[in-house]
Amino acid sequence: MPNILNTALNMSQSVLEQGLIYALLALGLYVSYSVLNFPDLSVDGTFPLGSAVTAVLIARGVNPWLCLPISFLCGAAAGMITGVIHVKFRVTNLLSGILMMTALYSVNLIISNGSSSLFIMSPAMGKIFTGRLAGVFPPVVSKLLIILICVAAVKLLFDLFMKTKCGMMLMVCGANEQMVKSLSVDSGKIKMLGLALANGLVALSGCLMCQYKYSFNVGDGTGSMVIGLASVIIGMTVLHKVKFLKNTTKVIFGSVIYYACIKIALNLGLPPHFLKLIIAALFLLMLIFNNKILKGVKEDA
Amino acid sequence: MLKLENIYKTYNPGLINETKVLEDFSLTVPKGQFVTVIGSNGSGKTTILNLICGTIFPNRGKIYLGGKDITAMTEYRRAKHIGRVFQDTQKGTSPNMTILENLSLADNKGRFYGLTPGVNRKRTNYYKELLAPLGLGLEDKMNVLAGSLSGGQRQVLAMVMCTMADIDLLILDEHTAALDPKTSELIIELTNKIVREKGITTLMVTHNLRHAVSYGDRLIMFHRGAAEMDLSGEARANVDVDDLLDRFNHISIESGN
Ligand SMILES: Nc1ncnc2c1ncn2[C@@H]1O[C@H](COP(=O)(O)OP(=O)(O)O)[C@@H](O)[C@H]1O
Ligand SMILES: [Mg+2]
Repeated sequence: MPNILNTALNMSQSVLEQGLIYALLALGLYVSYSVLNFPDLSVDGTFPLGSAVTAVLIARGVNPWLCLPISFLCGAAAGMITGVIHVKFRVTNLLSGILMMTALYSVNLIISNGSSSLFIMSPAMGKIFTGRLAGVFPPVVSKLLIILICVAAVKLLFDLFMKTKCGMMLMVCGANEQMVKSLSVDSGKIKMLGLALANGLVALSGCLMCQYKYSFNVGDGTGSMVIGLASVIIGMTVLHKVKFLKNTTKVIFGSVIYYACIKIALNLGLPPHFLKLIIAALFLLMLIFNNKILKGVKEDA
Repeated sequence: MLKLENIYKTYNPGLINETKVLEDFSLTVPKGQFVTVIGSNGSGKTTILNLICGTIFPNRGKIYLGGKDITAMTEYRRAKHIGRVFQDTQKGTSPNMTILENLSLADNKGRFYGLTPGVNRKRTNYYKELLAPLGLGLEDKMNVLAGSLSGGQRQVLAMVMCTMADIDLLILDEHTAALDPKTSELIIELTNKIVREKGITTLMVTHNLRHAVSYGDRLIMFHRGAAEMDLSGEARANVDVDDLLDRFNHISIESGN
């Protein structure tokens, strides 16, 4: 009996850990999809971009904490380029993202010097999960706590940002682009900024995931858009009625819930290579069953 | 002063659906003048307003505002000097923001939207004073989302927002057309009050002939991209709704519809 309990506990801990890491990805999707109203597919490339940059930097002995802002900036640069493609060259939003995603596949391989996966195996290579901060906490929960600290810090900073003039302008841009122009602000720049922020968050998520799994894999990004979007929608529908929760909190919960569903499906005995199929199928199921609720959310937004 | 000089505008030039709307069109509006514009559907009124605001650009011709050539200036840059209220009541406010947030953002127009707090609570009372005289009770709904307001309430809010900053020109495109008669009267009265108090140069397109004759200092009737009638001074003072209807019918018969 204690064995089963132990397994369940272990599992829910890893669900929490990875769900929380994916929560940053979901926050990125929240920015592009919900706030900016921009279906951005570049995330499938920026998630592994964060991982690739991190794997390479850590192998070169760069401080693992420093990898977080660097990954963010790399993702932000990629998102910015998606924005430039869309705004300056008038390519449709979907196509701009697809172009960026495709280009990033190669960029990620260039960063990893051609190898489709990299491992950060040696203990000498620092990770935020083995550093000094980790030593402060009891070993069993240190990973979870470190992830929690990172996600909470990002969420708080993000919430603060959304209260600034600039952050509010992002909200306006997604809901009424004409008003941005009427306020004498370049709505194109606002979109680029929003996409930079969104993809920065996504790459940050990739950075954490790389340090968590000790590896970068070029294929990891496939489905990022779906995972993030599913988390956003689950968060916003399941917690639809909970007025006192901020949207960002709901999205974080959504991510943990979605990841738990995936994990349960895998644990029902399906082999790991079914993962993306499960990701897609779960999302589809949710879309079908929640269509009514979804409509309600859209109208509210 | 607003000046349009020899403007040509053709949509989809060279294509099957090419539409010539303006040919050698000129218009001068002196500073402080309140112009009402009427005209049948498709006569080119919105096209002219879009040209002035920079939503679209002319094929030929020049546009000046306050003596400055703005012909090639982008829409958002022009917006610093131009306020605009649309027929669509959704366009003037952000539905996902409260009244307070909408007003705060409008209050910052022309300045940088950076990393300082978007809402300055100290200004709340000032905003309430702006809203209170309008009699819609908006001042008690500062924390209500604009998206949950009625069309009329949103239009009032849009009107206040776009005249908050100092502007050189106010553009109104059938901004009362989507409202019920009572709200429409309220908005037109508010419009007149703001325009007169601030002495803003104003172009107002309307389908309401009574509004066209009761407000403003100058009346222009459009037909096929030209000013078919342009009255000011005494002629403008003596015109009534029946005269305008006569003229409309006359034009319709001439053009065979
Ligand atoms: N974006 C556009 N593309 C093509 N034709 C247009 C466009 N906008 C307006 N038109 C055409 O130009 C003419 C004038 O339209 P508009 O300026 O909207 O008239 P009004 O506002 O007086 O009703 C109409 O024939 C209309 O069909
Ligand atoms: Mg029109």
